[in-house]
Amino acid sequence: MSQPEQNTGLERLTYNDKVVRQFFWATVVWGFVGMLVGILIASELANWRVNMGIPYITFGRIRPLHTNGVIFGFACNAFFTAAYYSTQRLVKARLYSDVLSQIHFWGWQAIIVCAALTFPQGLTFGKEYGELEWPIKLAITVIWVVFAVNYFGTLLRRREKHIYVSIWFYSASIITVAALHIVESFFIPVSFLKSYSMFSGTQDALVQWWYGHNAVAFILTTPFLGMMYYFIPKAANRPIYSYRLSIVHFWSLIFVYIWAGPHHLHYTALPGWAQSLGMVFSIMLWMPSWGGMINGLLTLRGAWDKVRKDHVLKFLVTAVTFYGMATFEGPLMAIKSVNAISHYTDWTIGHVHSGTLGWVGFMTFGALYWLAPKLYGVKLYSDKMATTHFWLGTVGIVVYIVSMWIAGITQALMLQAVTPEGKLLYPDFVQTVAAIEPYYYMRLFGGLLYFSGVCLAVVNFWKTMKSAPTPVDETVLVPVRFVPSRLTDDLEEATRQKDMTGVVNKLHHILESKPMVLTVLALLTISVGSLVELVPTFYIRDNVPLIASVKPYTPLELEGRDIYIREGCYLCHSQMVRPFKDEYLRYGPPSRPGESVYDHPFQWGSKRTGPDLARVGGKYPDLWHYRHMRNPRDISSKSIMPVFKWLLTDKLDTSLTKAKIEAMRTLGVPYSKDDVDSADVRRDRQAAEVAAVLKDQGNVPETVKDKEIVALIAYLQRLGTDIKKEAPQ
Amino acid sequence: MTGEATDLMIFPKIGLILFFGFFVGLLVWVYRRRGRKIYDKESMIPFDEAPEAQPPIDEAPKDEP
Repeated sequence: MSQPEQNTGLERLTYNDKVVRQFFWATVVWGFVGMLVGILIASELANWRVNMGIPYITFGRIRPLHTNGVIFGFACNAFFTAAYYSTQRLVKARLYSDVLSQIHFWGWQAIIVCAALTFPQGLTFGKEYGELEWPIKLAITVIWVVFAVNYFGTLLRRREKHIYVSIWFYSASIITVAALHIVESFFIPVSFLKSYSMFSGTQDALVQWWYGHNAVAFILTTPFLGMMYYFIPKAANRPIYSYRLSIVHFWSLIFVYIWAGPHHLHYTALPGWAQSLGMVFSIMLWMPSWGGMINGLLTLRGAWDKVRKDHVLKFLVTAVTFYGMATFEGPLMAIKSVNAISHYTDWTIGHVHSGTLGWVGFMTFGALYWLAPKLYGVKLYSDKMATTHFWLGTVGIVVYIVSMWIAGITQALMLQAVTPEGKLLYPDFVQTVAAIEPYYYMRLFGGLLYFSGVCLAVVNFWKTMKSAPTPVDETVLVPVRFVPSRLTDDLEEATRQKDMTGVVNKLHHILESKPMVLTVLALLTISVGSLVELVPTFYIRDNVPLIASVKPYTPLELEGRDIYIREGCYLCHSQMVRPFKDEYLRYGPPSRPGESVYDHPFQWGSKRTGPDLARVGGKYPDLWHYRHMRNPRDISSKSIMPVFKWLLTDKLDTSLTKAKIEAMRTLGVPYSKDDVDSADVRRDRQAAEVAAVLKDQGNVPETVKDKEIVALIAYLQRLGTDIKKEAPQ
Repeated sequence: MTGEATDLMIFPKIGLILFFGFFVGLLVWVYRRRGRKIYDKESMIPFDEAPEAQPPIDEAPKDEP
């Protein structure tokens, strides 16, 4: 798509803006859908009736739809839009392949559609932000490889010798997300839409939060920093404040970020050394993050009046400000003593949303408002609407995060409060839920404000597109392509240099002008923290000592556990008692690593909208659980838990029981061959026993024995009971 | 590899060496003499996309570190 101009040393090049426009609209559409689902789940938390007793829209099933929708739908499409637009221009080359661009676009959208179809049905891998089942995970891998080939292929065809820092951030994101996705996805399939994590318990938890935290880093941070380094200079029409600082920012951020994951597991059964590493590196992360923020903001030094007039700069500058706030709050929350309060509460939700709504959302909308007129060759339909969007969004974020701060801290302090006699001041968990319910409405209001701004943006972009003639891809005059030097030749030349300056300049070329060298160095940089944290946890047995009394689940309990995962119970209930007085009084002795060795995947959870369940087995009669699932208000009038009445009527799918036990056996869970063969018989026998107890306790008809509720009750009644059988030490 | 046979205290030492080596090396490299000229040139890449369409760039005071 390039034609030489006679005798000028230049050639005419047409960028592939078609795919940029496609990703632009995908960002807008999935942003709208993902945030709309966010509004729905916020409503469900504020008022349980909004769940309407419909399984497909119940909180536990559609919360992953919200998170995956905004992460993979909104944020990733924004990344692709910005990366494809800016990289073509920064390297003065058309995208490597039009075919790969289209496969990337349509493949990615198909993946998100699959997510939207599977999550409401409860088809989930059961690990936060990695819930998609294995065929979709494989599709992600294929499409990501397509993206990587298309992107790095473009870099190899560049006409600009140097690699601008935005491309560093994009490249590191591509390579690291690939590594994260592959390791997190290690699975063993049971059927076409069911698989188990290959890791279990403590190891699974560490892998999960190594993945989960670094998904925040390399999907929600580094691509958007790449955008910051491109769009702020472009919108402000001045170069970045300090290019050198941007390089320090890049290397130190990717080096430090990868270590910080274990701060999600403070005071859990994760080995203490890993927790300490997570905390220390999280605090250190503050420095590169603020270095980047300052670099972005100081770009506007002496030109702040532009922010007053320009809605694009309003979004971009506020995004960077929220980046600074979120990256201050994050390290603060990673300090163990602060985390003791913040973890499992809505404070974390507030923190996440100051980053996603403020940083990711505003950076994206700033970039989209900048791009829309350029992609369609007309003025934006309404500057006024864009400015209104900005103010609605800003106020919405503030209302959202303030409500979550108050809710989180209030609940944590109530849960920890004890009387002078040493008893719990609020012994019933639901007392703390009732206290924070008004803030759930306040959060909903904040979310609605933000979402109404997004609606304005959708209309504004639509009208802009409609007012434009048929869009034409941009054509520019660029220098003719050069043949990049080979690394071996460069190295040889470096050794031939006569003075130090020559050597340093050559080294600069090798280190900072070669995309593949840069990418390999970035991969090595992220590997250090990953290997130091993951390898000892997997290979040093002392980290996860086995407990003799902890045995594998029975076939019926395993089926019940899969229902627990299907309904997303782990999104509101933890199974991890921390070593705090109030938790001891409320739940029992602290959890130990050996308790969850047979949990593929682990079920420690990350949020307590309801109480911890690690020791719930035997705490209540079977009938209590039956009535609780039928209507939680029958048990606890102030409960906000949805009804799960379909569990009482839906027949348990028993077709995979044997295959599940076999899969677990393959993963090292100590089931014998006989356990596999007799799985169906043992399952039915235990189901009949539970049904008999239910009949005895509440005259529940015996037909319940083949229903899902029986399996779930069996599972819940097992939790925490093994440890009680342990011989006193 | 077992718990008994492994001296875990080796990890913090390796970590410290890696950490300081990485950051000191990075700072020395980025803030080397005569590096500024190269980096200033690179910071202008976004404004060199289509020279004929590029408006004049705002002059900003050069007081960066």
